[in-house]
Amino acid sequence: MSRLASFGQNLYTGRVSFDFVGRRMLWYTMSGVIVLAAATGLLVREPNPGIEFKGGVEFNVSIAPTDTNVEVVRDATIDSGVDVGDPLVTTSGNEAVLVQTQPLEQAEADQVAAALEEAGASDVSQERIGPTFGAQILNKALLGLAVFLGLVVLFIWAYFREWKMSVAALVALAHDVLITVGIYAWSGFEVSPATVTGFLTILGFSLYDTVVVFDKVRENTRAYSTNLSRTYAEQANLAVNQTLVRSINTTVAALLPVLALLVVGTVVLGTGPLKDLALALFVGMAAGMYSSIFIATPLAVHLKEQEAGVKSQAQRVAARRARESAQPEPEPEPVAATADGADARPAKQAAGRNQPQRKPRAQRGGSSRRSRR
Amino acid sequence: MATKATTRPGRTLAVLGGVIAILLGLVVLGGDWAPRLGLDLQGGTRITLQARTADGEDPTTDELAEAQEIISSRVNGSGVSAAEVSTRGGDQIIVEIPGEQRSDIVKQIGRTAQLRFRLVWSGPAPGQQTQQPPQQPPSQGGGGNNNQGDNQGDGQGANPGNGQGSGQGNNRGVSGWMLPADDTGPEGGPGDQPTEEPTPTDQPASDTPVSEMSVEEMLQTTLNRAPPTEYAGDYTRLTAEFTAFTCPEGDDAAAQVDDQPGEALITCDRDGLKYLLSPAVIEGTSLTDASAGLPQATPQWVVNLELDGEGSDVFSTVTRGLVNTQQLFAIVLDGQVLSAPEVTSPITNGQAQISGGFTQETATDLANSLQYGALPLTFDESGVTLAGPTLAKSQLAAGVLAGLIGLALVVVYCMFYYRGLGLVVIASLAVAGFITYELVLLLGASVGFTLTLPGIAGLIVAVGITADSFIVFFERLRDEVREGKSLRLAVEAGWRRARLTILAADAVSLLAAVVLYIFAIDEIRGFAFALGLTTAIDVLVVFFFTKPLVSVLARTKFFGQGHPMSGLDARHLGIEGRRVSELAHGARRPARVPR
Repeated sequence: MSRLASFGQNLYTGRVSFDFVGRRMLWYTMSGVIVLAAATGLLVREPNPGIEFKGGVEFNVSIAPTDTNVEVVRDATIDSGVDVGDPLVTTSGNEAVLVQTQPLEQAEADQVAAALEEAGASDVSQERIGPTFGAQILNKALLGLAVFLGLVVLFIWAYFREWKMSVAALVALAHDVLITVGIYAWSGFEVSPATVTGFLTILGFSLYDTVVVFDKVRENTRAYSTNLSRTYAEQANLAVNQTLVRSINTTVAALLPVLALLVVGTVVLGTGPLKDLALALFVGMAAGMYSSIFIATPLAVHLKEQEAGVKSQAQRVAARRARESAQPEPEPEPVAATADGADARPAKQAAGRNQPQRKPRAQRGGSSRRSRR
Repeated sequence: MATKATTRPGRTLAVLGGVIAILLGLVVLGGDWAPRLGLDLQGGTRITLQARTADGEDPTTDELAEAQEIISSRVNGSGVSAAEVSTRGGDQIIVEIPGEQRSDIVKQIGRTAQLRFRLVWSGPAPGQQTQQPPQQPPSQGGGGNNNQGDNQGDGQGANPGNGQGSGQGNNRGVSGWMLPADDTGPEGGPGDQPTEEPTPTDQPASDTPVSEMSVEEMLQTTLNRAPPTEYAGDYTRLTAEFTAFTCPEGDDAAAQVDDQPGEALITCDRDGLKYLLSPAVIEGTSLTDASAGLPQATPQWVVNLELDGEGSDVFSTVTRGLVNTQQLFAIVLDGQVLSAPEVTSPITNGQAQISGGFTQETATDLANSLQYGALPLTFDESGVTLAGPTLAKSQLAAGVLAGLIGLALVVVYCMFYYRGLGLVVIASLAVAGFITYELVLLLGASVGFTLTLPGIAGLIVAVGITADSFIVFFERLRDEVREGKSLRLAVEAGWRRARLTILAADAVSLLAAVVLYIFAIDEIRGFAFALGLTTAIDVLVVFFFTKPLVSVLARTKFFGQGHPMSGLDARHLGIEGRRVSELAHGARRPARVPR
C-alpha cells in the first residue's frame, strides 16, 4: 500500500506520468473499438425486454428451482384451464421459478396462480402489466433522458463556463452510455424499468467523474499562458495524473457496494431490480472513470488546442525549452522546483489571478492585429 | 478565516450532535423503530391506474384528485383496510394495499362507472337482441306510474308530426340495422313531406350537429327513425359511420369507444351488437343511489338506480315518449351498452333498474362503483402487482445482505488504504447511516415514505458516493501535505479546495436524483429518493462531521505527528526529508493562505 501511496506522490509531482493527453489517438481508437464491440451486442443479442415493457403476466413462484419443479410449474401453468399462450418458465436465483405469460385478465391470472399453488408452490406473486403501460414507461424514460441531458448541458456550461469542456463531457457521457447499454445487451439480462433507471443514474455518475477531473484541469491551467514550464496539454495531463489515485479510489469505493448488489441480486434473487440496476451501474461507473481520464480530458485539450492563445503558449514553451536545452545552466531552479515548486509558481501568480486570464486574450488580440499588418 | 475554522471544529461537531439528538427525539416521539416497508418487501397489492383522456392531454389536477377520492371510497367500500390511494405523475392513480393480496377488487375500483342513458337511433333487429328488454320495464315501472299512461298519446302524436324526413335516402341505406318499428313512424314521415325532395339545397341549413338536439328532438329522431331537418347532414354522416362500424370480438369491445356525453355514440353491447345512440339524455351525475338487488320471482340480479329530480323529469319524458313504441333507450356504462330495454309504461318516480346477466357479485360490484359516483376520467388498469410474503421476505433478506456486504467491502478497502483515516471514514459512514435511518423513520411517519427494494439499492449505492466525498477530501489533504504544508495547514487548505469539488459532485448527484425521481416509474422511485436523501446527508456529514473531526485529529499526536498507522505518515504519503507536522523548506506559508 505504501508503494501505491508513493506511486501517488510520484504521479502528483509528475515524476511518474502517464501520457493520457498526448496519446489521445490511441485512447480514441481504443474507446471506438470498445464502443463498437459493445454496440454490436445491441444488434447481435436481441434486447430482452422485461414484463414491464412487453406486457403480460409474470408469476414469481416460490418453489425450489429444480429441473423437476420447472416442469411441474410449466405443466401446472398450461393445465390451469387458462389460455396462457406459450409460457416462459425459468429458474430465478435459488428460491423461485418464474413464469411469464401473455396478457391475461385478472381472473385468469388468479386462476393460474391458484393452479400453481396447488402444484406445490408455497406462495405465488404476480405482476400483471397492461400492454400499453410498457410503452408509456419507455416514453417516460426517454423524456427523462432528454430532460436530463438538457440539465446536464446546462450544469456543465454553468460550472465550466466553456463549451469545449462541455462538449468533451458530453462525448464522454455518450461513450459511457453506449458501452453500458451494449454490455447490458451482451449480458442478456432483462431490460426492466430498473435498467432504465440505472442508465439514467450513470449519466450522473459519469458526469461526477468528469467534474472531479476537470476541476483539477481547470485549477492547473488557470494561469497557463504565463507559465512557460508546461504547455496547456501538459498541465492537463498532469491534472489527470494527479487525480488518478483519487479517481481509482473513488471508483473502487463506489463500485464495491454495487458489486455486492450485483452478486446478491443475481445469485440470491435471480431476478428483479437489484441485479438490473447493479449491472447498469457497475458498467456505467467503470466506464465513467475510464472516460473521464481517457476521453473527456484528451478531448477537451484537443478542442482547447485549437485556440490561438493555447497554440501560442505551446510555441513559447517549446521555444523556451529549446533555449534551455541549448544552455541548460541558467534554469536549474524550475526543474528542481517542479517537485514541490510546480505549484509554487502558479501560486505566486495566484495573487493576481484575474490578470493572467485576461492577458492571453489581450495578447491574442495584439498578435492578430500584428499579423494583419 | 483559516484560524477561525481551525479553532471551531468542536463547536461544529456539537451542532451536528444536537441535530442528531433532535432527530432522535422526534423518532422517539414517533415511537416507530422499524422503517415502513414497501409492498415488495412486506407483500401486498399494488394497482396502477392510468388516466386516459379523449384528447390525449394530461388530466387536470382537480379531475385526478376527484378520481382519487372516488377510488379511495370504492376501495374502502369493498372492505379493504389500510389501503393507500395516491396520485402519481399527473396521470396515474396508485392503490396500495399492504399485506393483502386482493386481486378481486381490481376491476371494480378502476371502472369509470360513467353511466349514461341514451336513446337508440339505430340498433340490432329485435330478433338479434339477446337481452331481455320486456322483462325489464315491468320492474322499472314500480308503483304510481300508471297514471302517467294517458300522456303517451300526446307524446306520440306530436312526435311524428314534427318528424322531418330529410336525409331519408341515406337512412335507408342502413335500414337493415333499424328496428322494424321503422315501418310505422318513418314511413309516414317522408310520405307526408314530399317537399323534402330538394334536400341538397337545404344542405347548409341541415348541417346542425346532432349534439345540439334537445331531448324532445332526440326522442323524435328515435320515433321517426329520422332527425328534424336541420340535423339531417350530421345524422347522415352518423348513419354512414354506423354502417361501416363493426364490433370487435371479445368483452372489451366497448373500451375503444370515446364516450362523450354531448355527442352521439356508436357502440356495442356485450354480445357484440352495434347501436347508434343519441347524445346522453341522462347522466350518471343524476344518480342518487345505486344498489344490487334480486327482484322477487326472478333469478336475475339487477342494479337498482335512483335518479335525482332533474333526472327523474327527463326520464319520465323519455319513457312516456317511448312507451309501447318498441323503440329502445339504452343504459350505457363506460361506453358499453349494458341493456337496451323497451318501455312498457312510463317511469316518473326516478327509479330505474339495470338487468343484463348479472350475478350477485357483478351486480354488487357495479352498484359499489356507481354509488361513489363516476370517475371524471377513464382509467386503464395498467399494472397489478401481487407480492406474496415469501418473495417479499427473500427480497428484504437479499437487500439487507447486499447492504452488509457492500458496507463491509468499503470499510475494508478504506482501512486498507487509509489506515487511521479509515476510522474517520467508518465513523463518518456510521454517522451518515444513523442520520439516514432516523430520516427514513421520520419520513415514514410524516409523509408515508416506504422503503422498497430499489430504495435499499439506492442506500447501498450511496455508501460508495458518500465514501467518495471522504476520499476527495483525503486526497486533497495529502496533496497539500505533498506540496509542503504541515498537516494542520494541509487540513484547512485541502478542505477549502475539496469542498468545492464535493459540492459540485453532490450537486450532480442530487440533480440526477431529482430528475430520476420525477421520471422514474413508481416502483423504482425509491431508488432516486434514497440517492437524493443520502446525497444531502453526505454534504451534511462531510461539512459538519468529517472535516471537523479531521481538524481535531490533526492536533493529536497519532495523526498530527504522522504515526505509521495513521495513514498520514511521511512514508505512506511518499514525501521525504520531513515529518508531516512540519512545513517543507521551500514552502512559503503566506503564499497559500489567500486561496
